[in-house]
Amino acid sequence: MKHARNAGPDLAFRLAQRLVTAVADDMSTTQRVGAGAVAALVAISPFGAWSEVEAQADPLTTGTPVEVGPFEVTVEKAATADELGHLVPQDGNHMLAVVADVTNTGDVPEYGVTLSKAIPAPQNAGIVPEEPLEDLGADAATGDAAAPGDDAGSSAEPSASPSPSAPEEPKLPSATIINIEDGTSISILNPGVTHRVALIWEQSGTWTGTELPLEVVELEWVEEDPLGLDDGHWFANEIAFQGQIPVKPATPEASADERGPSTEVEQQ
Amino acid sequence: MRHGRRRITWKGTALVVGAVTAGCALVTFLPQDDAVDAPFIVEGGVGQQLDLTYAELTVTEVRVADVLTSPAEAAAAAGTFLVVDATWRATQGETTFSGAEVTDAQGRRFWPSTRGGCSTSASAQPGYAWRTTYCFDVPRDALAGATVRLARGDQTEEHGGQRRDAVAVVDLGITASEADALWEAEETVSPEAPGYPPVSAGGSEG
Repeated sequence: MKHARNAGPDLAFRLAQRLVTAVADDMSTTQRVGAGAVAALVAISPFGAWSEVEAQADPLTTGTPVEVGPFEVTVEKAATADELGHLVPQDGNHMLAVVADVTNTGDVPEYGVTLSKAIPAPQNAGIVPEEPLEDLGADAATGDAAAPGDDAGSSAEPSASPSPSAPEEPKLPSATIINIEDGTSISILNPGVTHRVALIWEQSGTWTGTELPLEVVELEWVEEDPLGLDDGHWFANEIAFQGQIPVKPATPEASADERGPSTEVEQQ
Repeated sequence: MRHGRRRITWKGTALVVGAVTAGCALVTFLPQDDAVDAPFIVEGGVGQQLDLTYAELTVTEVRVADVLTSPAEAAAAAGTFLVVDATWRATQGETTFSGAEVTDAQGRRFWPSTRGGCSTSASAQPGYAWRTTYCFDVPRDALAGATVRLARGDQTEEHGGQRRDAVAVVDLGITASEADALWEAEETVSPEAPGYPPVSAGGSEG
């Protein structure tokens, strides 16, 4: 016996079939092919058929300035250090710094957070991911700590997943932005001033690469955000520049306590 | 007495469409925001006391520094630090003064830094004078003709916190020739921590 609840989809299908049959009966073969093509195009529209093909990122090299959103960024070098001032890694890890000259080319101040959106943590470079919030609770309860020496891929496994679904990709942290000259944190970048900064992440000690896959993301100004309440902000869009930046390794004799963060990065 | 549906006439339709169009045009093209949102600007110079209704404000001194020092840290300017000393006296109630911004002759805007022991805001009890120091990292070409804008509302969101409120705009009095000399000078400034001003600056009145 057919249940009444199942009659709905069948009815809709039969109606659609009759409609298509009624329309198609009066068409020539050419018209049918044309109508089918139009229907197919309409059907694939919601799945990004008309989206622009992803643009190829331009090369990123040291010493060459690139324009991204309100900033002109010139990456100078990348270096690692055992510790940088108050930034101390977990045992076995080290700090990774990308040194760059950054100028706000606009007319209004920009937040340092916006710069860290433009230069996200490098992928597949052993950057220690953020610890998920649910893990913090689990750690507090069990006394466990995240494995500090693990690579990005392995240490990111959530120890306590709230759902049985597959674990999400670990979220890499935003860079800590330090003024090279004095080691102070920079939260505001005023127009027309060139800051020599270090963007710093904690990196796994197991990473053995010699070149850093660095990406610079295009920033798009959102005047009015129809989907949220946050009007007037920079949106991190597609990757605009990418390149391999040589990494100068940490020197064992380097001591941040003696020289401070700026001089240590400078000496790499 | 007539019963039944009213007829939709061309004349009635034109009247409705015309009224809607006129309303949209008024809302779109009249400078409504400026009239409703504009703050009340109180202009002055260095050393001049300004009455903002909710507070009295005096910019007492303007300096330039390459380096700021505090017990916690030393901060080096990427451009140069424009150091603005100000004294607030709240007149109505405990007030937080969140707005501090420098505007240069080109219209560029600069926000203060917390580096080197500087303040980005101040909070004062009524009747007491309260001294604070703002430091703005600016490029060389921003010095001449610069003004500082101070208020209780903050300057983010296009001065959204300052709508329909009194705002002080103080000419820092830096000429083009002075700007060159200030830029070349190598000065180190140690900003005083926020607090009551000394007796010589009117602190005893509070």
